[in-house]
Amino acid sequence: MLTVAIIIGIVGIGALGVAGRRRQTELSTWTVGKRDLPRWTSWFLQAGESLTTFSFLGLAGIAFGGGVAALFAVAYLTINCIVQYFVVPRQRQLGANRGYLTMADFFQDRFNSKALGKTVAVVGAVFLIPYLQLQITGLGLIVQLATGSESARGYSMAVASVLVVVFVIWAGIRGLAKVAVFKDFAMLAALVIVLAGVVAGIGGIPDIFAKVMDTAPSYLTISRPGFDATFWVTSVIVTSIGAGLNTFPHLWPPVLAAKSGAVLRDNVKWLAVYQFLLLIPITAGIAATLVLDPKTKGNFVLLGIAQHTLPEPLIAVIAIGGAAAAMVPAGAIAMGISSLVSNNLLSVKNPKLRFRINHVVVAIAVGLALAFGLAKSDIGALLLLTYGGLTQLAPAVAIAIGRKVRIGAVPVNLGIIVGTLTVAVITFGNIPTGGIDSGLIALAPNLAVLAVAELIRRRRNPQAVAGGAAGVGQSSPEQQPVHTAVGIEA
Amino acid sequence: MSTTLASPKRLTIASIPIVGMVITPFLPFVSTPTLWLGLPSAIVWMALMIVATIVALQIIEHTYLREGGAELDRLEAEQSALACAATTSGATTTNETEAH
Repeated sequence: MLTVAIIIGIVGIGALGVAGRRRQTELSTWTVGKRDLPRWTSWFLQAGESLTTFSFLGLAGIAFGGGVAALFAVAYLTINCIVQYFVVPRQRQLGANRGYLTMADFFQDRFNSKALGKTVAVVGAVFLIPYLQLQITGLGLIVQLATGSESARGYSMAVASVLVVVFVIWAGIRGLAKVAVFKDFAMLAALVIVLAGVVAGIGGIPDIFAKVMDTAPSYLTISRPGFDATFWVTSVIVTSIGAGLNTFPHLWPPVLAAKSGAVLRDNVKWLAVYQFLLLIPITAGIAATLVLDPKTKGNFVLLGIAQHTLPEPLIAVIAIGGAAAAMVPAGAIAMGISSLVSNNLLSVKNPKLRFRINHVVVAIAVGLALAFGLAKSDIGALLLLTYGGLTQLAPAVAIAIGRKVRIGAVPVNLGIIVGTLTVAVITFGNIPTGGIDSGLIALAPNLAVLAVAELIRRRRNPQAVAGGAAGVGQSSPEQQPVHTAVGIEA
Repeated sequence: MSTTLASPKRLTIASIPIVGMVITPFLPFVSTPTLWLGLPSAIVWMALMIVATIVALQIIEHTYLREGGAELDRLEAEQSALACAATTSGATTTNETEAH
């Protein structure tokens, strides 16, 4: 019965994305609409990254092992709001004036380099696949934990994946926005229910923390093994840099689609309120240390404590909220991957053919992630590359949002490649870093290579440097649309 | 007075909650187990930092609008409206052509 209720909920989420929307027929309107999304539509799209399966499964698990160190997620997501307040209006302005559809368009145009656009498209598309798999696997895990059924896990993953492909292909960013509204309310309901269950089943919040203070006070400090001050500072800094400068390709369409920079600023200056919600899974995770087996796996903590304290119908509400938290980011990530491939990697001039290819890529990306998830392939290590790898784009973003781009494309490209490879070597080579985030370490060789290569470029071609970095980023006035230059039809 | 969004003054205001969050593990009331109002001091501190972030961004937005940002927003809105109108008129023309 519980499985049926959850599957109906998942189908309902998919139907919501398609309902009342005409099928999109152009890549540009599919990706960024008419660049006129009003405040509240932008709000729910921008909030997408605050509430994901990580909020459901990951955060409570970290709190279960690391106590209040799990607050690092609250810290970086809040800092992200501050940095984005200054960054995203500029990115939207450039996007509107120059006709960008993707993050790679931004790089290609600002550095006047197709090669850099392709590098960014490859890096973005490859590193987003594990992130997509995480969402789909997380959804399956939520259903499995809620129902106790292994087969329900597989069915729910397959049904949700098909629905994501359908509503994303059909309605594009507007369909995604509609489901995002539902997702935020469902997550709010689910988290409040979890909190109520914790209070009803274990005790009042002050009582819970008083017991933790008596039994294991280290949960109340940032000092548990693997979750010390070094972990906190480096994780917060590197993730704030990466997320704040908007280096995740799937987060660009909401920015580019917004009606104005003022809309984005208005939203970002309030979006930090979402972080209050994250205090609930953190509290639940710490409370779980009082009732769950210490050997409980991190991902099982939130639903474990929910099952410990709540009746079945409320578990279904939590599971549907969790499913929505997986499906919206999954849709956004699939859009991010497909638009990078069809718009930046492949040189298809026919707009209709390009749009069809885009649809095929959506299906392939979701299908790949589903296949990895069903096979229980451990591509989790790649997820570390997602954060660390994409953060290697941050120096280039910081350079490119300036009024004038004075650094060449080749140095930036080399820096990205070296930084990404460094993250890969540290991750796959299991090189000990003393708790320092590999993405932060990799920024050092990234910047060093960028600086040396730029120095060589300036020595070789001083005239071009004096004239604006060989025309970089200023090949035509900023106000003049250059849709064709970045391969886009208006 | 600056119409540059990321002016030194506004960046300084923005940096206050950022520093407050980054240094959290080193604060004396976080490095020793402490409860405030029945909650871990780290949670209360982080809640205060969220509030500080919202307040800081409101102040920054207010100063930006007061120092010329409102006019820039108005110009941007006009430009967007013109671009939208151009797109709509272009689409209408295309449809009419197709109809013929």
